[in-house]
Order: sequence, then C-alpha cells, then structure tokens
Amino acid sequence: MPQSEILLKMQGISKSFGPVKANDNINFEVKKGEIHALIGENGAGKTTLMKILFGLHKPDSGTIYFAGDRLDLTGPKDAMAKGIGMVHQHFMLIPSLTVTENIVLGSEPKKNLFFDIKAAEEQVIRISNEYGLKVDPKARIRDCSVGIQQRVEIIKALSRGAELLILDEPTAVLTPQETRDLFVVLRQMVKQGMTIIFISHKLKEVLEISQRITVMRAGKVVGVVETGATSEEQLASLMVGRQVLLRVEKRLSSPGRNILEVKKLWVSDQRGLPAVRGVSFNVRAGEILGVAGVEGNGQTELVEAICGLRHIESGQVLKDGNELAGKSVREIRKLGVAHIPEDRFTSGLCGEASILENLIGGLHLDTPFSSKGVLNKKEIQEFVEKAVEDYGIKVGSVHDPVKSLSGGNAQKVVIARELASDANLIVAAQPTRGVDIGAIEFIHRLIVQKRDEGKGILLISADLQEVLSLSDRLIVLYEGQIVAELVTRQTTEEEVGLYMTGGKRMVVEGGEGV
Amino acid sequence: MKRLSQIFGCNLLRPMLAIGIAMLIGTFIILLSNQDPLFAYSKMFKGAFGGFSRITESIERSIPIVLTGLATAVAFRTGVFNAGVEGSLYLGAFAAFIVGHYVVAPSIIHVPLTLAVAALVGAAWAFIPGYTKAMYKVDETVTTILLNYVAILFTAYLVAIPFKDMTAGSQQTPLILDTAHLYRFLPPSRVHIGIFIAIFLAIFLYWLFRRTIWGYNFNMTGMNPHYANYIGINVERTMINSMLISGAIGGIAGAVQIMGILHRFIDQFSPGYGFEGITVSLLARNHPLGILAAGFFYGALQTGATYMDRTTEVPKELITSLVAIIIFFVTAEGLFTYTKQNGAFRKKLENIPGVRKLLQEGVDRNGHST
Repeated sequence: MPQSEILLKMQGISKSFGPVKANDNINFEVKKGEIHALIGENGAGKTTLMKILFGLHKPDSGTIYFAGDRLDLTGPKDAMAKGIGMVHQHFMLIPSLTVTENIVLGSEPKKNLFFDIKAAEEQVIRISNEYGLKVDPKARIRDCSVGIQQRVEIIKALSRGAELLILDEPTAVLTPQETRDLFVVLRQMVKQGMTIIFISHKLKEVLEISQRITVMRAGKVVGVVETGATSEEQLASLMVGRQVLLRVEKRLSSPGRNILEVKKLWVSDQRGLPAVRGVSFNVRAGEILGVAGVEGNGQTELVEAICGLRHIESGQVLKDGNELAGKSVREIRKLGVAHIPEDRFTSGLCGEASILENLIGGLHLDTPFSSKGVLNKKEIQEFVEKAVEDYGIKVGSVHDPVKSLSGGNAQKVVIARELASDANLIVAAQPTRGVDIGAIEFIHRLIVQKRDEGKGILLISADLQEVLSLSDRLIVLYEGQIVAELVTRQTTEEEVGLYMTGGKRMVVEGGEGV
Repeated sequence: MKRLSQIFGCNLLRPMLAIGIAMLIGTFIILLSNQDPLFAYSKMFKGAFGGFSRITESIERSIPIVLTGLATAVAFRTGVFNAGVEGSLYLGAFAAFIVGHYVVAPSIIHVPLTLAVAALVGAAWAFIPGYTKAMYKVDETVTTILLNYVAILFTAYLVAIPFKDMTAGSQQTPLILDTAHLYRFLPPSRVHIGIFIAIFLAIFLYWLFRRTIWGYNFNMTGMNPHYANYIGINVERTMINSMLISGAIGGIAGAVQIMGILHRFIDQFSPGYGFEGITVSLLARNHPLGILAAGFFYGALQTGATYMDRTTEVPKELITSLVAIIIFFVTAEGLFTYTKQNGAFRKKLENIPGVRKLLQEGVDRNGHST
C-alpha cells in the first residue's frame, strides 16, 4: 500500500491551560493508510493534542491540514463531518439501547417522519462486514462485553464517514484475547484505506501494531520513529527522559507462614447479588499473591471485604489467626492490614484536603501523631517531610490540595501513608493504574522490597503484565470464583487470559487454600 | 494583606464587588419608591456605624448571629446540613430561663451553670436528627427543619401556660435572677460579655478544626466520607459528634440572648437567628474566624436597615429586599469564579489599581478549584 501521502499535518500547535503548557509547538504528521502510535506518559499532552484534532479544544496557535485542506474546527461535529472520528477511552454508549440504536443515534435514517430501523440495521451490517467488526445489531449494549462495546464505538465513528480514526488507549479495558481481536480488525481497516492514530502507553502493543510512533514528553514531541527501527527500551527512555528498568527484578520468593487465610468467602455487591462466591486462598509471609481477572469479576468486593469496607455474608477471613468479619476498618488496620485502594480519588485520597492531611489519614488517630485527641504538629511535620523525601513526591507545598498532584505523585501519597503503619499484610488494588512509567517502576520495586522484608502482599490488578511480572503465585477470578491457581513462573499471558475470560477452568479444590 | 485574607478564609475582593453590585441594584429599588438613594444609603451606613450607640447596637445584634453561624459551621464542615440550630436555640434559651430563674447561686457559678445546661439541652436536641442521619440515612435537612417547629411551638406552649409571667400581658416568663445576667460592659449600650463567649468559641473551633483528631475527622467526613471511612474514621460517630457540638453552640446562642439582652424567655424572641447563622456560615465558607467578620457584617447590615426604615420613607418591604439582595450577592460564589474564568473581565479588573494583587491572592487560595 502506498504510504507516502500525508493525510494529516498539525503544525506548530500550542495550547496552554493557565500556566501549564499542555502542547508546546507540536508538529505531528500522519501518513495515509498507516497506524500511527502516539505515546507518552500521563500528562505528556497526547490527549490535549487529540482533543484539538477532534475539535474539543481550540489551539492557542498552530494550523492543521487534513487531506490537503486547512482545518479550522468549530467542534466535534465539524471534525466528524470532515472525516475525523474518535473512540474515547470511556465509551459513550447508552446501555439500555441496542447496538444499532447507539450507532445511528443523532443521525438516524428516516422513512417519512419515522425512524427506519431496517435501514439502520442494514447500515450497521454493511460496515460490520466490510471491516470484519462482528456485532449483533439487535443486542442491547448492557449485554455486550467491553470488547464488543468498543467495536460499536468504532462502527459508530465509521458510519459517520471517518477516514481518520483516533483510538484513545483502546486496549486499556481489554483482555489479551480481545486485544488480539482488535488488532486483527485494525489491520483489516487499514487495508480498506483507513488511517488510525493509536494512543497508548503499552509499549509492546505499540510495537506490534503501528508503523510509526510519535513520542511526547512534557508537552513536546521528543521523537518520531519507524516502528521497525526501535525497541521497547528506546521508547521508554524517550518517554521518561532517562533510562528505565522495564523488567521487575526480583529473587525467588521464600514464603513463610500464612498471614491471611480466606475460607469459603461470600460477599455481595451493591445490588445485593453475590459477587464473591465461595473463594478460598492464603497469602503467606514473603510472597506476592496476584489476583488476575477482568474487572468486575468480584475483585473490588473481595478487597473491600478483607479491609472491612463491605459486609461478609459468610465464610472466614483470618489475619494472623484473627477473624476479620464484623470488625471495623479501624480494628482491621490495627491488626496490621494496609490497603492501597483501586479508586485513588474516590476513597484513597481526599482531593480537596492538603497533601499533608492526606499523608496522615488514619495515622492521625494514634501516637505519635496525636495524643489525647490533639494532633502533634511537630511529629506530623517531620513525618510528612520525610515521606515526601523518601518517596520522591513532587510537591510545591505540602499544604497544596492533593488533587493538584499528578497520578503518580498522588499514588505515592497513598502508598507512603499505607506503608508507614508497618502493616504485615498489604492489599494493593490496581497500584499503578493511571500512573506514569517512572512511578510504576518505583512502586513495583517497593512492592518487591516489602515482600523481601517478609510481608504478605495481595496484588489485584487488571493489568495482566503487572500481575505476571510481580506476583509469585496467582489466582484468577471469574464471575466471583477462583477458576485457576497458578505459579507465575510456569504460566503464560495467553493461558491466564483464557482463564480470565472463562474460556478455561481448573478444578479448584474447595475448602482448603492454595 | 495576604495574611489577612488567609486568616479570614475569604478573599476580600469578592464580597466588596458583590456589595457594590447589590447596592447598584438597590439604587433602582430605592428609586422605585421615589426616594433619594444616596440619602437612604447614608442613613443605612449611619445606622450601622454612625457613632458609639450605633456601633454597639450592631455588635449587640451580631452576637447571636456569630454563635448560630459557628453552630452551623461545625455541622456543615462535616457535611451535615443542620438547618436546626433555630430549634437548639429556642430550647437552650428556655433551659437558660429555667436555670437562671430557679437556681440560686453566686454569679461565678450561676452563669457557667446556666450556659452549660443550655448547651446540653441544645446538644441533646441536635442529637436526634444527627443520630437518624448517621444511622438510618434520614435526610437531616427535612428532620431539622421539622424539629424546629416542634421546639418553637413547645416553648411557645411552655411560655403560654406553665411558665407564663402572670403580671405581663404578652407571652413571656418572669425575669431570671441578676446572678445569671451576662455583664454589660459598655454601658449605656447592651453589649455584654457574650461577645467574648462568641470570640472564644470561634478561636476554639479554629483550633479544633486544625489541630485535633475531631477536627480532622469533621473535615474529612465533610469533604469525602468514602475516604474518611476507608482510613478508619467512624463516619457515623463523627457526624453525631459534630451535631452534638453544633447543637450545644446553638443552645448557648439562645442562652446568651436570654442572659445578656432579654433576661427572660419571650415567645418568638428570635427573628430567625438560626437561619441567619446559615447565611453567615456560608458567607464565611464555614471558617470560624471568618464567621466573626461575616457575623458582624450581617449584624451591621440589619441594624443599618432598621435605622433606614426609621429615618427614611423607603418602605420596609423594599428594605428587606435590599438586604436580601446584598446577602444574595455576597454569598454567591459564582461571581468570583466568573472573574477567574473570563479573561477579558479579569483584565479589566486588573487595571484597577490594587485589584490585581487581590485577584492573585484569590487564585492562590482558590487555584485548585478549577
């Protein structure tokens, strides 16, 4: 296929939000018919650039040329009319409507005055066949898997006549199998003449799918490379601006006694339906037990039950032999349980409160941080200064609100606080989600270090690579049950992926733990 | 300058601008009644600040408002919308009458005892909606407003039948003993030592919010209850604690008015101090020291309005509207947000000498709220 023709040219794009230069004189080119990856850490300015291209932001300066014409976009509608489509990271679909209805929403084919459902379905099937995007036009969105929902979003963009498709972190929500399917589709689309901008920070995928890669850092383009002529290491150091260690270096674990024993645990979700269904496992001292699984298969409820945030329906949770069921969060924490929660800004931090206040949360209830109900200012100050220093938290002032921090720094606040209590069980849920590469490296090393100090770690992550590279053993949750118990060294991403999607199931002995 | 705006928890430009706009609108209202706005405003200002007697009246008027403002702020900080300070105020006031009238003790014991009992009664009253909110998630706005009626009408009954002063024509109790009076230290004005109780409580709350476990728990529960729960704070107990303090201060507010000004319980004695407290607390963004300033502003505004009513021909209804408009504008936060977002408007403001600095301070303080 000819790849010489330039389809998109963004020239000298700058965009500031207050004092922050999100895009600083960016030049970005995409050739017709290529998959062009745009990579960079969180906050590097990828999303801003794409929002400018999709008409969601107006650039302060710079020009955009698309298919030879100069573009002055007035909004997303305008962008779509010109042939630019975007699939956002968070889908914008209506769960109660069907696939077809969602796709044609806003541009419904009409027969006289009425919605022509037949014509709409035919349109969906036509696009679906053309690009190999298999969907059931009559299915309701709420019954579709995440992978299918993504296809619906793609079809939606295609049905509006997109020639250039922007995919914002499309694989973040997918299982390995779904990712593979998506890649097949993307290659098919490119063959049909589509051009794709693929935003990601997963370097392996980028190397697999793209032809060229543009790397952004701190609002600037720091490199444009041919995919064939680069490596994971080179991309990572371009992104971060220094050498980074991608592999987690760790010795074989030498696990000791059981720290956490979970026996036939049943937990219900928000709606009162069983979410964790008879789960049993152990976490031993000096090991990392990974919990893999597609999100929404009971991980959240499992963690909340262990940490005292959710009622235990039946079964036992023993921490060093102490029953945790019925205990308050405070009591459980006092027994030596630290908890890095999955949703950093919902429960892990108080966004409006200062960094200092967030660092002492929970610790403030005990000596030396308080005595007789009064906070000990001096101790707190010393602790906070030390934490900021030790964890390399980049702050202007510790009195700034914590929500002013980047994802990585905010997560470091959570981790610094949770590890300060010296608990011997660390429950870490999605510890590196939305965190930049530099901080990921730091957090991973810290987790391994805590393991080597003899603490037990329960690691829950939707990032399969993370689970595989960090944990010593892992269990796979599917629909609230453990469908596999694996030794990490002896398994592969593909195998775990199969278990995660329910495609395979191990006979797991009930009752006793792993 | 920066210090000052930090201490009072609010930026100075915003309220000043708001008062300006409100007065502009007020000008039209006054013109509507065929009066001279300049004359009316000068009367209002004179009423609030013109001389010793006027200023002391403004202070006297602001004491209960500062107290109800503080009571409200404690609950608001914890995320509990306590609209029931008025109820605590009535019951606390009545408790103060009981102790002040029937207990015989030297002043040094009688005054603190009366205040303490009033605080206890106010707290007990606030405990009811606090408990149902924390334990059963019953909407506290509804319960507190309804319980206000119970408290007001219950005291109305008490003062109408069992405790009525038979020598008086109106619905009021006999006088409390002199030993339970709050000393009026600026005669001939009625300004009493209740002002020091208000100042003391403001400083106490400032300290409580910043330097104690309870304060931390209040703040976090108010800002993010999920976070509070997750780090091991007992959110339910925290809400109840905050309502207890809120109610206690509400009770003290009522007692102070009885012990300092009225010296007896009078039916319907409050012009809505509890609700004025909500306004004042919002005005000061629940900041205890800010409430001292906002409470005085509010008291002065009311005193000035009363004076304007007496000395001009502007109808009372329009004066009430005028006050409401001023309060409305000062309380509205949207205006400041507007100056922050609208670059052109901001630039114009920045050209006014001195304003640039004020704006900058505002952004420093509020920069995170984008």
